[in-house]
Amino acid sequence: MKQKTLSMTMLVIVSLFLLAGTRLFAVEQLLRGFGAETLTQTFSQISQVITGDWQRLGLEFTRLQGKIFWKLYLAAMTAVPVLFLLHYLVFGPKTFSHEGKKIAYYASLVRLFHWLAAISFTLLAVTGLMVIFGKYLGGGHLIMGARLVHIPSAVVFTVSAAVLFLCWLKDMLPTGCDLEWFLILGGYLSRKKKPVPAGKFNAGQKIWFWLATIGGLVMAYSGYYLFAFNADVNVLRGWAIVHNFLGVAIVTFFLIHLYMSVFVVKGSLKSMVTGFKAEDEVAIMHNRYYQRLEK
Amino acid sequence: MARMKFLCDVERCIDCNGCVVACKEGNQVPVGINRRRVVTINAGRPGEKSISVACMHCSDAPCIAVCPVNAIYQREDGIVLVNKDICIGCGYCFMACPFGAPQFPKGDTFGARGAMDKCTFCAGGPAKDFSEKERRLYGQNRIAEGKPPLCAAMCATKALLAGDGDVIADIYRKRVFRRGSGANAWGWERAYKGR
Amino acid sequence: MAREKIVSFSRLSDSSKALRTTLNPKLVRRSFLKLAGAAAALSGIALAPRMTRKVLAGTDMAKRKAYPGSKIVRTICTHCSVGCGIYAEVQNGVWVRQEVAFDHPLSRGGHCCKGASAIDMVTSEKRLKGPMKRSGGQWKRLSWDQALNEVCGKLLEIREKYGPDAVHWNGSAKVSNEMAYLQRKLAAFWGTNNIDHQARICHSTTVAGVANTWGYGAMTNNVNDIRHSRLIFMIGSNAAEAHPVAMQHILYAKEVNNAPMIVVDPRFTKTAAKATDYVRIRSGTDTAFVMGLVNQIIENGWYDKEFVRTRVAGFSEMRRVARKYTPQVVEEITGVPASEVTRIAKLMAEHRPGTVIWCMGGTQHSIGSSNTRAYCILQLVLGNMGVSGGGANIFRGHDNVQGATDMCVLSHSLPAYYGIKDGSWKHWCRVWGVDYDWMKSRFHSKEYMNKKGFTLGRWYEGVIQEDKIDQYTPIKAVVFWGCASNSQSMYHKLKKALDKLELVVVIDPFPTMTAAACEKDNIYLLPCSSQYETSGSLTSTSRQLQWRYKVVDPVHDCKDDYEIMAEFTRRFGCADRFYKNLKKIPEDITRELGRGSLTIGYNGQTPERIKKHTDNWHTFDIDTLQAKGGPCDGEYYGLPWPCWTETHPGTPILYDISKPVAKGGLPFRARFGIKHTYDDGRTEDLLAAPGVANPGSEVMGGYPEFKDIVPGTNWKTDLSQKTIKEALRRGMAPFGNAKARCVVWNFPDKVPIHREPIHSPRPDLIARYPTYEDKPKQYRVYTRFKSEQKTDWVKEFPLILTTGRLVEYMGGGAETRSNKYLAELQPNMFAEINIKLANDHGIRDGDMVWIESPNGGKIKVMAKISDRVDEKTIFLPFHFGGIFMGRSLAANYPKGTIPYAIGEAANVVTNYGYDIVTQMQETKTGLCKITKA
Repeated sequence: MKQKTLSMTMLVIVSLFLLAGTRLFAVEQLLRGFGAETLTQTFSQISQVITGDWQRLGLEFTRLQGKIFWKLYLAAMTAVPVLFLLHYLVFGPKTFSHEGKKIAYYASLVRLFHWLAAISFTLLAVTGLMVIFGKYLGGGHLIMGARLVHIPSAVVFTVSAAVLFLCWLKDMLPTGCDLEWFLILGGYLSRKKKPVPAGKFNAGQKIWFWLATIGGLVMAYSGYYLFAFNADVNVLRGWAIVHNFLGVAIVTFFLIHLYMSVFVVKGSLKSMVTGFKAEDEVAIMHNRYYQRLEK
Repeated sequence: MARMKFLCDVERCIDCNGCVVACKEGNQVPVGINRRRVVTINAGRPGEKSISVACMHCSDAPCIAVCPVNAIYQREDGIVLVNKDICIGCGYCFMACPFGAPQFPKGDTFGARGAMDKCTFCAGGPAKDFSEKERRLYGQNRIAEGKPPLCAAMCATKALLAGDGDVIADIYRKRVFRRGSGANAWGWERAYKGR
Repeated sequence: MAREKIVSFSRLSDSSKALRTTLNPKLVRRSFLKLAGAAAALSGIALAPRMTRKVLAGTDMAKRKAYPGSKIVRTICTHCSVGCGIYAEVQNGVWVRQEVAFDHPLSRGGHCCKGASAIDMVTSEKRLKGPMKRSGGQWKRLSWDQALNEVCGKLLEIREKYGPDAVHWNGSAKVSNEMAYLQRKLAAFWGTNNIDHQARICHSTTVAGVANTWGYGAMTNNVNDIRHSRLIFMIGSNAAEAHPVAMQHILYAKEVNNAPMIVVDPRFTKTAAKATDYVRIRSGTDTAFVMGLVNQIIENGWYDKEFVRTRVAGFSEMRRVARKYTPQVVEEITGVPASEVTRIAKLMAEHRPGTVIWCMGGTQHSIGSSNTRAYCILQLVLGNMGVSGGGANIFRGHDNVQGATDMCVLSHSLPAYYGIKDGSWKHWCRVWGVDYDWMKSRFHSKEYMNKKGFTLGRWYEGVIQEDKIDQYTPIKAVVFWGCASNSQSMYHKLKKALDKLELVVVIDPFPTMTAAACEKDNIYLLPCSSQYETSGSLTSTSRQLQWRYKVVDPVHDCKDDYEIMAEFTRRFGCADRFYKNLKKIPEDITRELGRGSLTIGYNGQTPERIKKHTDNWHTFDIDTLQAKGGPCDGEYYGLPWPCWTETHPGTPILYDISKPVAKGGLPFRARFGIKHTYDDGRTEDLLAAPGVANPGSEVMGGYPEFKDIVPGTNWKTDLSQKTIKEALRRGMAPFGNAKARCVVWNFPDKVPIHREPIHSPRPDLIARYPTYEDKPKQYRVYTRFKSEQKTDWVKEFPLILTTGRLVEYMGGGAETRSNKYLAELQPNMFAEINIKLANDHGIRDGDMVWIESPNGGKIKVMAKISDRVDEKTIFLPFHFGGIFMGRSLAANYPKGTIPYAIGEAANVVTNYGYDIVTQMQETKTGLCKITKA
């Protein structure tokens, strides 16, 4: 029951995002229907035809793009690593023996697509950030190139994310233990190796999964509009805002993912290469899954 | 310092597209790129009005604010120009612009947009004055020759005015006074905010 | 948010630091670019901020040129008759760009989209590159020599075999006066009156109607003079699209004089959008509406009684007719509410002087020559004639259609409206220096020398003979010299003729639709240069002569018209006689045509004077068009005809008795006799009333035209011009001083009355307002009126069809549709359909529809839902070509010359119907039906 509610909520949020642009467009169409009587009305009618209701989204976009987005990205890119550095120094990594039994964790197909997704996503993130901070890189061919790399990377990522979505969907559905996991923050704020309440994937991974797949889909969808420019300008503005905000979230979680898999949980990276996880790692970090396997 | 501005008189514009074609022919703008266009509302009904729109060279230009690579800059005389060597064609300026001015040619790679193109106030671009490169990328540099932009100069009914903001505001004010009706010039509030 | 990002260019220089600190515009403005909009003159220093450094270092402005070493050539736009000036910048023989002719007295640098891309006429890649003929269905390139030999050989062969009238010449309103004159002269030397040009289908009814009212058939005032109007009445004129630069002055009057601007049109045009009052009449009911206004003005006592008493003839006869057009009757015929008729009449009476402007919306009707007279009568009763701000301001179409009309490239007259009677031939033979008998020998017979030829609208009947022709031979060859074929109605019949002819010659810079529509191996294309590649004078709609200087040499393998003419006459064996007085081309032609064109006073405009005016644009005042100081001091711009002597300043306003004749004043012309007895037995003195004459006139009152100053001649035929000079010396007009007439007794309808269009949507009105009886011999062809006007057409074809202009294109569109920027703006042929009509037929915006005419034509076009037309009317623009009844003819064009925009020619569906006097085609009113394709 709980699972259903959660996934429904997510669906609603996503569809709201998707609809946002189209709805704005429709309202505008309605506004255009009225006749002009005064010169002021004429002026606003003309403006409406030229660039939609600039005062609303245009102004907002200008403010966000001019003043906010780059700061958010900058914050994400500096604050997150700093926090992690502190975390690393305080709590250190989680190391497991890797000597014992190996558990087959990732099928080869999954690994293939994970790495495709990883590479394309890295490219997306890097080139995206290059565009955001283009002015410090001088613009021109370099950034234009970054923009051009961004496009095929998006295609590759969308395909591989879709495959991963299907492969992992079952394991990624929210479960009761996710709440418990949140309560202890996955046990990362402790040096102890207490079993963590998590299935095959813990709640953190799940967030990342949903963000990367559904969020990725929204990114791809909005990105398509930003690429093709085949919509009303107000719709474009809406998508640009969505793309950038979501981008901050995704980049942030991408950094977390990177930190977790490379630094915190030692061997995690390797498991995505070989497909096997050490038994003690699974026992601690994915306790519920381990219990199910034991049965 | 003279501040360059455009002003289109909605009572005078007859939708003849002279400005559009003057711009295209003079600057050899490719087909499909509209540095200037004429917008008509209520066509065929009482209240039909037309106006010629291009980059207004805003004070505090939103396009400059959103450009991620600082390709767009404003000269001291207020003319807003784009450096096509720096522009990456991201299209943000188009979204920020209240006048729909930025235009993008279709690029060769993946059909992605090329560098932004827009009205230059016939002031060419950052390339050397009158150089072949300037002509190819930006068109004529009439301002450097001491000549007004083609669109306004060739306006059939003198609806479109271009030049020193104070002077054209005076011309327009006189017209409004003579007509005994009227309001501020279209787009000025948004573009210049009294500056 | 972007303030901090302003790039300071003055940073480049030390010396400009001071400037950067003073941001107060008032302080530094004087040293900077002062582009006073496009409105202020470019005087003083005009500098750009980027040049600050260089200027401060003392750099010479003259060196800052984008095209070093270039020179400016003054020339005139080749599109419409407004006659805008162009500065063509030429570098090393290449036209590099168009500059802005700010000082042109009329356009002030303004252009519509066509004029703004005038340079494209020369640079267009769609131009014909060399002479071609079609052989075996394929276009074959020829050398000029071969092409001319073949064309002229065939023409002579046809002449030999069938007689000179087997060739029909279609001349042009797009060439200079000199060339138009040569075209008419060539037809004479060829021995035929089968020559016509676009004026036939443009303003022929105006010329006939207006000239018969008060003397001359041209615009009485001028475009600039509209600035003085206190009211602007536009009927059947869409100046915003057809004459955009004229709108500069119209809107000025609207603003400055607070002048009401009344637009009367079946369609809510772009001009109507600027109007203060818009009146939607049913197409083809102009006469009823205007006579309704006249009725209201007279019956309410608003007419100018003194003006009518002293300067108008036939008033009471006209009044009797006008009485029938009560507001209620007008409402029934036109659909305009009765109260609106009275209101407009009152408005016109209260705002004087007002101008009446009309164009093809008024002329292209079977009663076109009545419409035009009705407009004149309206101005006469209001007393708006001969005053600044008033007048009949008839906007002509093509750039030189006024000039070409004056040169009478027409089948019923020799140059300068002399007609084709014996006296006229003798006059012109004297001018040409040829023997009258030799001239006679060129013709089939003397009868054919005095017989009006086929017209542009109906020449194809001479080929296909569906209506009986009145000529000894069918037409076997046609020469289109600067004339589009798709501007002629019933185009599907015309196409049939093209395929049947033995020879079709197209002389044009572009292939035109003729090249594609003619699908047999009988066609030759001779690429003449555009008018920018040659020179000559041209007459704008304001009767002003301007000199169009040659910008560049003919491009590609083109020859200019004069050269082609020389080649033709040489091969026809008449070059010696033809060029007897003509050594220096084109100036000698200007002199010759001036010497002969005394009726309309072309004699004062020597090439030197015309050039002087064109060279001194800046000295003319925009309001009065009079030069203040300078080499043309006191003269009116372009020496508007009549310009009686080489010192006469030109006549800016016709029939203006406030000025002496020698200073540009004139009374109404005494052209119709001294007395006339009307049908009711009343006899009226046609000369002006006592006391009415120009200042300084020896006779203060009416006087007849001057004759016998040189015995045996009159002012029109006295080549020594002594008569004219004598008249001027006495302060009198050579043509006399008479009244304008409201009753034209030589016309079928003596006073304009309403008659339903040939294809009328109102069968109930046909009985009350029927058209004329058929005319068996009108311009050598049987023309149906009554037998074509059937009451049941409307059952199958319920909709009104009307055609008109788009601002982007001109005429048949061969030139403008070959311009990529213009084609981009109007890529598709369309039919404007009201939303209600569209919904009733299940048609949506952008759908393809078939439009069919009662005469068998049909076209497949895109539906454009529009509020401009009412639910009973369909509007078609007439510029398109290249598709014929649903079939693309693109493959028929020579390679690389297919215009950027092709579409169905609207004239395939325009209906049968011609004016009773001039055979003007009735393209503004017809019937059609629409079906979804």
